[in-house]
Amino acid sequence: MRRLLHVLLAVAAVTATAAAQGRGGAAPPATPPTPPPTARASAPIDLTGYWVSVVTEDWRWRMVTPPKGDYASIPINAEARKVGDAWDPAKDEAAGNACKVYGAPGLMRLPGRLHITWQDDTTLKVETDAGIQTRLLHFGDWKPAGPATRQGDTVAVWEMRPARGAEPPPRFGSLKTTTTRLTPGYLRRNGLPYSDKTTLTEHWDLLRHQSGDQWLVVTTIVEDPTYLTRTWITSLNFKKEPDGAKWDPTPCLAK
Amino acid sequence: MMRRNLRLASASPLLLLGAMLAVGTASGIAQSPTGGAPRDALEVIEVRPNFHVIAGAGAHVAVQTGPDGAIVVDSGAGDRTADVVAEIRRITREPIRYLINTSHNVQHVGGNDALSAAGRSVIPTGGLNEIGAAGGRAPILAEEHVQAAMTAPTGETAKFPVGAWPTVTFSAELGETQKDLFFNREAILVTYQPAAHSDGDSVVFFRRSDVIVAGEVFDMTRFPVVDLASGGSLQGIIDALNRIIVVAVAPVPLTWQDGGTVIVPARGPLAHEADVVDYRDMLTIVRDRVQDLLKKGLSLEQVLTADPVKGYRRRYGADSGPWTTRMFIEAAYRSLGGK
Amino acid sequence: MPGQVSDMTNDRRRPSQALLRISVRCGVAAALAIGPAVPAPAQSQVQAAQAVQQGQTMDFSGTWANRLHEDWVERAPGPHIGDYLGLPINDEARAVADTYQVSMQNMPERQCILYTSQYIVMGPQNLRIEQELDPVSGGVRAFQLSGTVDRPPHTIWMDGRAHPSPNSPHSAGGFTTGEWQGTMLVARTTHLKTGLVWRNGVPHSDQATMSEYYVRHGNVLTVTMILEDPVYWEEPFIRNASFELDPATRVLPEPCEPQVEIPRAAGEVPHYLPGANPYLREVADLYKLPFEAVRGGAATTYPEYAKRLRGTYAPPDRCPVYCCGGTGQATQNDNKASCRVDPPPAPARATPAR
Repeated sequence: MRRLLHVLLAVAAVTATAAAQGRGGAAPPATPPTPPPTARASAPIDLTGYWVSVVTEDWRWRMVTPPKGDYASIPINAEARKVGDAWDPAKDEAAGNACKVYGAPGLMRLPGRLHITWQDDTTLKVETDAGIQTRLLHFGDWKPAGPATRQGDTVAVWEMRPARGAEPPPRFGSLKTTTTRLTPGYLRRNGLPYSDKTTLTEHWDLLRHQSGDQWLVVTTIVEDPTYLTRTWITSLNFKKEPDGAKWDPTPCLAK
Repeated sequence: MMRRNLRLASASPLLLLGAMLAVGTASGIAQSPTGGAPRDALEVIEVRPNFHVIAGAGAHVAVQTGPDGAIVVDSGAGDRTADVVAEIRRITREPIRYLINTSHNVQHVGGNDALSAAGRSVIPTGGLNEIGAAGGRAPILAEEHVQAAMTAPTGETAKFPVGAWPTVTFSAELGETQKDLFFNREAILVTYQPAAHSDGDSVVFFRRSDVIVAGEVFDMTRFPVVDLASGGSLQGIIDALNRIIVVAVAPVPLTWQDGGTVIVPARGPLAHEADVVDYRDMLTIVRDRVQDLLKKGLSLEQVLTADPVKGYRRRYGADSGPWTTRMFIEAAYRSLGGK
Repeated sequence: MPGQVSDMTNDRRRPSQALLRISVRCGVAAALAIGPAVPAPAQSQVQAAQAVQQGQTMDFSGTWANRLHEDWVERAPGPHIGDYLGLPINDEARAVADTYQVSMQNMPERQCILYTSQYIVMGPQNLRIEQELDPVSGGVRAFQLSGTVDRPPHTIWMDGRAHPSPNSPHSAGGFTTGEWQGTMLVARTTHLKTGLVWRNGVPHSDQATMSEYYVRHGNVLTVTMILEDPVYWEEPFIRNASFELDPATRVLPEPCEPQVEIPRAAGEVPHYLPGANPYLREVADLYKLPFEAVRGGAATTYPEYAKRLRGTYAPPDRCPVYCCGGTGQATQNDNKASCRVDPPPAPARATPAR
């Protein structure tokens, strides 16, 4: 028993010496950790460029102003109908509210073009020629703050499978954005409202067709406890264009 | 040679994978007689285990097989008959017992002589009787008008060699509108369709296989050829299609199942009743339009300008080739009474 | 942290396990397929291949409810006769659709003809998706999209098989093969039968082919279709439908037995002669739209066309019909000029205390 105790003590001593040497010995200098790639560097898909809306769905409600009281397809409540029935575009124009349909939930549904660029390594900028609007999609630790605006405050995140080991970065994935802090606006040109409590969630997917065409499909989910009885889910299609030759900035129109 | 299994899309995945692996040999790609570039291989489609269609030799050639031998409907245009025979040999070791013609159109009878010669009569000693052909060849069955169109009186030159002529006929003029056979445990009904593509059309129904071979009254690649000179008419073609629709069975009531009667057109994809309905409806609409224009007293040129095939021209029409859209409209116009 | 990434994979490789198991987390199917004990290098190669396959797959299984939050009018009660708005069709298609009478659908020989697979995004039906898994690799061998009322089953083969030859028969479901692009399922369909894209007679031919893109984000499935048809369509026709996962949704096939509904002479085909369809201007009149717009065409789907109409178009003062369809504020078939106001529910009667 005594011999066993001596062995154990010897082992402990050796271990402690080795550890001490490790702490105070010739250890290699620590290398600073590699910063994670930026949102721009890690983008699994390239959304930059010019995109044109191709309106093959809800044509009557998007290409032209629908008649007052036309609420088909949107899960509205009685309050929304009341507000929609009171729509007066002349009043909107007189009050300087011609851009109410050009807020983020309604903007993307209007016929027009998008121009998407990187404002910086963590911010995607989406400009529209319809209504000459700008949306900023913020990656990283962005915390929505400040007053509500027409385009609201958007947090963006890439959704993709991370690269494993030595694999090259993935080429597939999508963009998810969540927009809050919106000022009230219109989901449709005929005054169908959304409130300042609206949350707009969008999934931006890049489709590559065998013809070589690229399509941006944005699945939009609108939640509005004030005017909707449930989430409103739609999807919008944009076709990539080679350049901005057809870019046509047009100011807001109340009707 | 390419083999395609009709049931590729409906069988279980393992069976389908096995079928895909069971690719036939690489023969069937023949050099042209002049020794030029290889021609396209014939395509063999298995419709049922005992029923195949050979495409690429003119109009489709249909082959029913079994222990009694092979029953062949139509023989193609004649320039690929050796390849057709080779494909039949791959399908079955049994002899060709019967050749049935759906019309006298050269795309359907061009290979009659060679196919009949490659066959063997059911009467081993041959002899000149009703169910045989001289020399023990496979007999050729068709409605009598087909024989009349292919033969010629003594002293005149026939369009086709003797060996291509039908040897077994039935006569609509004598009240025989259908000829029945029973081969390979299956009833085969050869039904006369008057004044359709021509005056000698038959539609062949293989009852147990549930396959209808339609001949020229149904062509998935173009407007039907209305052979006015041979007694054809647009209304006769429509009547033939209506008859096919009555006989064919769609997959009802379990509509989510693939299946139903298979209709073999003269050319193009194999079809089902729904396809024949689309084709019949198209022709009925065109007929109604032409009749309406005729009632208004329009001339042929005026009818052509009115474009009674609008909506169907792009799918079925042709501006050049052996059967153009203009030829079809003119034939429809004249067969409906236009002068 | 910049470039925050949400991990959509379920990577739980355990080299020592000899158990085949399939699990789902956050909508991702992961298969753990480990064979019998093999030398470590070969085993890791198998696992690497399986992991790549696993990471590229998405589980679309489930019952999906079609919410009809777009084009409710066209998908539910059905499009007006002559309404070709937003459809990039050509003159041939217009001629066919102008000829069309809805009465054709009650011809006994047409009653049980199904819409083709493009109706997954064009129609109102729900969707049930099941996946067939390869028992060894755990990869998806095929997706089975169920048939339902008026729509056929649709199988998407993932095993690399070739499409049949052009002479092979077509079907309402077509023949479809698929591949993964990340977690997006991309499918290609050939061999479709002739079909109706809209219930007012707008056709696609049997030469049409279809590309589909299935993307799942949480409990929302977006199906995008691009239909190409050299016979009837000016350019590729893109369309989507969004579905929500809903286990309570029923998706059942419906048998069909044809009956004579309207006695007709044998072979009679109801249709309009050219120029005789009296309803072609109905949509233009109802909504004061230019007739040219209602006739569809590729040019009418681009912003340039909206600009042409701007300043010249004035809608009617009020919505004339189907104003609240799909809103929950009216029944599906409500065609009243204004939305009905639902009375509040009656208050519950208090039960007297005993």
